[in-house]
Amino acid sequence: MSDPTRQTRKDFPYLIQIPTRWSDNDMLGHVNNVLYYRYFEAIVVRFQMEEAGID
Amino acid sequence: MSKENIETRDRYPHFLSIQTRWSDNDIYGHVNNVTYYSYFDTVVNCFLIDQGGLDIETDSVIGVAVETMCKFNKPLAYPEVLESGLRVGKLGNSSVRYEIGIFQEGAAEAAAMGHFVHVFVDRATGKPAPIPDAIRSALERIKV
Repeated sequence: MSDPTRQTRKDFPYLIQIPTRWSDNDMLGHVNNVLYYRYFEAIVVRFQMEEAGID
Repeated sequence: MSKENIETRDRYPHFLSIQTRWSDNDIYGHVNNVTYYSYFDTVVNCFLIDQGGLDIETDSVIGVAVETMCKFNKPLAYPEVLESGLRVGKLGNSSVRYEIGIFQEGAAEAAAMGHFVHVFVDRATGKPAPIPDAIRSALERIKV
């Protein structure tokens, strides 16, 4: 990839664990690209609910 | 989003009709943002299969996604039938950048627009591989 700005764990002050699911793999045996956005959504929503009290 | 950044139908040489599904809507009653990327997967892979002869089960090369992006202009909702526009913005030796617009049926302006970069790799080694000729000539046909 041409992007020189590689992010590391220490760039993120908030971390959660997201267990992958059987259905996250596509027919090539990898987590499908679409699912990464589900993971984005999961951490944003978790943060909003737990840290910002949004219902 | 400023008007001039919104893509229009005439800028896409290829279209695929996409029927939204019940499960595409989230609890706010709109197609969830994540689902748009599954429409991207759908239009890109249908094109490669139908126009480029890609065999997703046996070909020696596979396309892997290395970058995707989407901007959202208007909400969409099941049970709408959508049209996804596709063009190729950049064609390299083993990589291709697709540009995609998602339209309500008959709409001139895109409801969402974005891009998707595929790198073709050898199925066994995972190393970048040249885009097969049949796929390349299909991609050339929709290159802008």
